[in-house]
Formats: sequence, C-alpha cells, structure tokens
Amino acid sequence: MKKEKKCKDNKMSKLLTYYYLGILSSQEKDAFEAHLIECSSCRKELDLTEKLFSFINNNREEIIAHLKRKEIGFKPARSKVINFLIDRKLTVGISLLIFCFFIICIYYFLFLKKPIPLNENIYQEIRGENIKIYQPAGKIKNIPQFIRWNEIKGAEYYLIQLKDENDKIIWSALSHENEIKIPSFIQEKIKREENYYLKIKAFSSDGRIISESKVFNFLFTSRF
Amino acid sequence: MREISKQETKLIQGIMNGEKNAEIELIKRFKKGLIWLSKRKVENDQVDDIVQETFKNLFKSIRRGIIKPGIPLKDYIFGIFKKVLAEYIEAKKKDEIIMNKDNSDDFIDKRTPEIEYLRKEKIDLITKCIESLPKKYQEIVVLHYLEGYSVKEISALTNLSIGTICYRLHIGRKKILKKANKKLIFADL
Repeated sequence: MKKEKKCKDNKMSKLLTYYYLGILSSQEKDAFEAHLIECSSCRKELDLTEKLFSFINNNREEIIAHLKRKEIGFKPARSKVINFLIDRKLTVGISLLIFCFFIICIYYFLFLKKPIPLNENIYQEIRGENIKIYQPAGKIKNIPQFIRWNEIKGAEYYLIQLKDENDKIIWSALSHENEIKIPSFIQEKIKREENYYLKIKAFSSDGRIISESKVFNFLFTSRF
Repeated sequence: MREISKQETKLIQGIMNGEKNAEIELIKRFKKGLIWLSKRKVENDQVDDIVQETFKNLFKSIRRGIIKPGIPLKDYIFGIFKKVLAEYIEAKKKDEIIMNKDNSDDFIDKRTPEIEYLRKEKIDLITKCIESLPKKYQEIVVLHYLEGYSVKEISALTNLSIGTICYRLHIGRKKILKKANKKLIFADL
C-alpha cells in the first residue's frame, strides 16, 4: 500500500542521518526506532547508507589517494583571486554588471557633451578679433562704391568675398589696406531688392588666417 | 495519518473480539520491521524468539484492555520490544563468558581478481560522487567520513557550530546516496 512509497515525513530523513551519526538523545532514538518498525522506505535507506559508508570506511585510504591524485593531476594551482571568483560566481557576476553599467554611464556623461574641435586655438584667436565692416551695411540708397573695415594688427593682406542670395561667389579680391573699391563691372551686377553677403578674412605674412569677419549683408533698396 | 489510526482501532477492536484475521493482519504489518530491528541488535539465532515473544505480549495486553485506541500502535510495540530485548541481552551476558568465537576465517584471503576489479570501480564512482558535491559540503564529508574526525573536532577546526556541521553532513549523505543510487553501485556492496 503506502509503505512502498517514499517516507512522507521530512523530519525523518534528517533524523536518519543523526541516528546514523549517533548524536540523537535516547528519547529521539526510541521515537525513530519506533518509526522504523512501521516505515519500510526508511529501513531501506538506512541499510543503504550503512552499506555505503562502511564500504567507504573500509577503503578510505584509497579514496583519499584518488581524491588527492585528481587534485594534483588535473587542477593547476590557482591564485587566491581566481579561487574567490569561482567560489562566488553570483556575487561577482552581479558586481561586475553594476561596474560595467557605471562605466557606460560615466562614458556617456563625458562624451555626449559637444565634441571639442581640433583646431580650437586658431578659432579662439579668430573669434577674439573679429573684423567689422563699416561700409556697406544694412539698407542702402545708392550702389556701394567702397568697402571699408577696421584695421587689424599683423595683417599682411585681406581677402574679400561677395556672394549673392544663392550663395554663389560673384567677386573675390585681395587688398593690402583696410578698404577696397568695388569695380564698375561688379557694380552693374548689383540689383535692387536683393540681399548680398560680404565676408573678409585677414592673413599674416606666413599665409595663416589671423582673423575672420562674420557674414555681413546689405540690401540695395529704395524703400525705407 | 488518520486512515492509519482508523485501521489500527479496527484491528484492536477485532483482536478484543477474538477475530483471527485481525491478528494475522497485525502480524503481517509489523513483522518485517521487527525482524529487521532485532537483527541489528542480536544475533540471527534469537531473532525469531524475540519477535514471537513481542507479539505474544502484545496480544495479551490488548485482550486485557491496556492498549487504548487513539495512540499510535507502533509506540506500544516498540515499548514491548524493548523490554523483551533487555531480558534477552541479560540472559546472553551470562553465556558470553563461555562462548568463544573462532577467528580463523579472518585470516583467509577471499579476494579474487574479479572482486578486486569491481571494488576499484566502486571506489572510482564514489570518489566521483564526493567530488561532485559543493565545496562546503565536500570538506566536511571528507573530514568526517574519510579522515575520521568527530563532529566536535570538526567544529573546533572550522569554527562552525555543531548544528550546521550535522546539517551539512545530512545534505552530503543525501546527495551521495542519490547519485550512487542512479549509478546502481549497490547491487552487491
């Protein structure tokens, strides 16, 4: 009937070990032996354990030799750190994950800011001394004759560029002074009611850009 | 548990009424366990006597009405068995002085190559079982069962309490048994 099945009392398997070890008190021992009369599965288990461990006890020197030989033969000596890693796989794994997460966070915080340009120094110089164009600027009544701007120290020559609305360079010229006359064939090209853009760059004697103007625009119009 | 106690009350009532079937059923139920238990305590010659006497005493006490239904029957049986056993052991002590065992069998070497081979295979399997245990159980199992340290000595060595060591030994025993059972090395240990 039920005797063939496993012993349902979970306490008993623990008591069995303690009975085998011989550490039960006399009362517990009597109770367990009374249980043994009834339960066949516990009897079987106790028989098996006694057989197994008496066998182990009889041949224990050989088993110890086997265990040691395997330790020496197949496992090279490990350092303490690796032993720790192998013993506590779970904790180490979780801590490594958290560490990686932090590293990724720090990386993003540092490098998601605007990238630092390579030629920063040059631009700082250029931005420091912007060229300002006095003439022509804003809305004008007449067709402009001259272009004038402020002087810059150490500038050998200036490059002037004139663009139309489609970002097409109409005219470019070099000058050694801080003003230039617009030639007449360019003056003819300038039309009413259209924006024109001017840009000026200053070069030193080595051919390096010292300074650069913003883009200035002017409009030749009759309406004010 | 309730079903068992109901059956027991039925049996006890049947014996009190003088039914033979109830007696036979009760003997069937507890015979194996009693034989097994008495084999552990005394030699084979006296087993049958002890079992017979315990059943005799049991039926006597049931008929007198000492045993009441409600309390598990195994406890009564074990109490009677203990008394009977104590009497036998006392009687045996007197004879023991005269009896002397012949130890001549121990000096004959019974080992054959076949048995030796099987033994080595079993040793290999058991070492594998022990190796497959988790390290904290393995240490204590090796210390207790192989090196022969007692539980108290281990607790002094490892700074663990006696309770935890006993528990680890228990788990180690269970795991080794399970693995060994799978590989069927118990066929003839």
